[in-house]
Amino acid sequence: MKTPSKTFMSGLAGAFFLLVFFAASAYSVTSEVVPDRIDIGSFYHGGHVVVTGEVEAGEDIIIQFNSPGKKAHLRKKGKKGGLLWMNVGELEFNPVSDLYLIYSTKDINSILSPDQQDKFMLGYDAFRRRVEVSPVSDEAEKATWMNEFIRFKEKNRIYGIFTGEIETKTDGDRKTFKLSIDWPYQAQPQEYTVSVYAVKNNAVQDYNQASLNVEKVGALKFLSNMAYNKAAIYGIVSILIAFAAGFIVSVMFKGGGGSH
Amino acid sequence: MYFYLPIALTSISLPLIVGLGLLVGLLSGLFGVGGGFLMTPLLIMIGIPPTVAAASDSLQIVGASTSGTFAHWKLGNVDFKMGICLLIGGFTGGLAGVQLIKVLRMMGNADFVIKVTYVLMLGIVGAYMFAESINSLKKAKQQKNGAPAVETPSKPKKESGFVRFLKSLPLQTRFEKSGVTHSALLVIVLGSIVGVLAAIMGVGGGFLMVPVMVYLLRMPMHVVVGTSLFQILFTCVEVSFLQAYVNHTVDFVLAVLLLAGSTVGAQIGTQLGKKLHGDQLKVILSVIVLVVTVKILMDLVLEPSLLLSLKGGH
Repeated sequence: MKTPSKTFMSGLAGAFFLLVFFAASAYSVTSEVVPDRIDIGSFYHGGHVVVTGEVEAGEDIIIQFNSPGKKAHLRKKGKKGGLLWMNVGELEFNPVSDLYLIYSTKDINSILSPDQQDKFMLGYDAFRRRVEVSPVSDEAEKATWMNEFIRFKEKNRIYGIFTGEIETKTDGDRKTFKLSIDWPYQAQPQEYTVSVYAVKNNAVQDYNQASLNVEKVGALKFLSNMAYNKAAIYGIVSILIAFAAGFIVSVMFKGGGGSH
Repeated sequence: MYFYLPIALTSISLPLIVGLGLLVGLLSGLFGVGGGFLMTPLLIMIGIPPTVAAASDSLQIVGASTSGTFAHWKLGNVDFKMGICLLIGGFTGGLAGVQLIKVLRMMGNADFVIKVTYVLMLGIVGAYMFAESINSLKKAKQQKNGAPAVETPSKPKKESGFVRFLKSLPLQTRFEKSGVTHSALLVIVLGSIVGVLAAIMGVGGGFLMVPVMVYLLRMPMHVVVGTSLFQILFTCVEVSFLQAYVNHTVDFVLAVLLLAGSTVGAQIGTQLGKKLHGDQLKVILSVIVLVVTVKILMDLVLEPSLLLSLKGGH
């Protein structure tokens, strides 16, 4: 049985260990995301985001922007009757993010082992291994549709893996970095996570996370809320305004006049 | 200048979207078609989700066809009696068509039926209108040059069995504005057939209704355009409300931007229509319908660049 003084001493040692561990990790990666909030107003056409910070000299950097994983349902196209291309069913992808952008100082496969890629879900290979696709008959079919899914998202600028866009500068035992990106307007309003990973010896040494809120504001938010929460009023008002617009323009043009 | 759309959740260029509205409004005023068969695919092409594109387009058509109907009403070109009969049929057919789609979806071949119906209907309507109106133009030219008309009936034509059958139908009604007499029942049935097809294809049905009025109901072209717009107006009011209330897919900002172009376009189209002969109008409309048919056919035959797409739309 432990005496109270022994328990106190082991607790103290544990606290000291945790303090040293967190102090070390806190200093390994520091990062800041500016701005941490993007407002979507009526004239919004995307934004500009800058991520800056420090890692230890000799470490590579991976910066990932993503959103919580969820199910996505998409229509798949195929040939019917051996001649005509059309929708031939639905596929479920789970779990997938609405946005998945990764920036790294070097090719991810050259600086991070597959195990580590899987652990932190970094890179398309890890993404392919994590996501389930249904219904598919075998792994080959899954691979085909995963590739199509990535191509579909990349075309909308909300998925992508980029190398060499992070600017770095080494000063003594520290390395500062800066990444400037054009935030895609296609990214839907929600909370995104920005993760900065310090990588060395094929493994993540430390990481830091921050959130980036993309939110509707003003008249846009009002209209959106009305469309979902007061749908009948929204529908009637919309139709009345359409009537009025058509009528006003008609009067402006004096309704034609004359005949055929 | 860009606008962000609150329901479509994407950003669009103002000149592009107003320009699209202007173009489709012009067609609407000229031919009495809502333009859904043209506008919805164009909106999807510029990145609007299919369900939002179809729903917002129907709201836009409400505005454009109000403008067009009002202009044509001022010109005395709207046959309200005919329009209401077609509307009754269209509503009934639309409801039946929606149920038919449900059954086809359960059987798993809805998309095949929709696409094939779309191409066949557009192709047949376009080709027939084109051939018929070119013939009419040729005849008119021959008569203008003093040449004898190709058909010179020496004695009155004997009524065919079909015509006698149509005349024997109950509720024979005189449609003064159109200058024709038909059974109201026949008009309602034709309206409902268009309604079924329009529901299957997911469009307002203007491009089907116009040929039905011209070739089956024998209405003069200028009355056809005004009456078609009147009928489309009410069909789209119903669709817009249901889409907003049930599916939350009507993007008000998108519809208003399209309206800015289409209401003006509809007026210009109406004015332009006054300067064109009915057969010239039919030739232009048939060429547009045929071009759209070829585009859809190419999309069906050629491998698409992306094999995945969002749900909804035509």
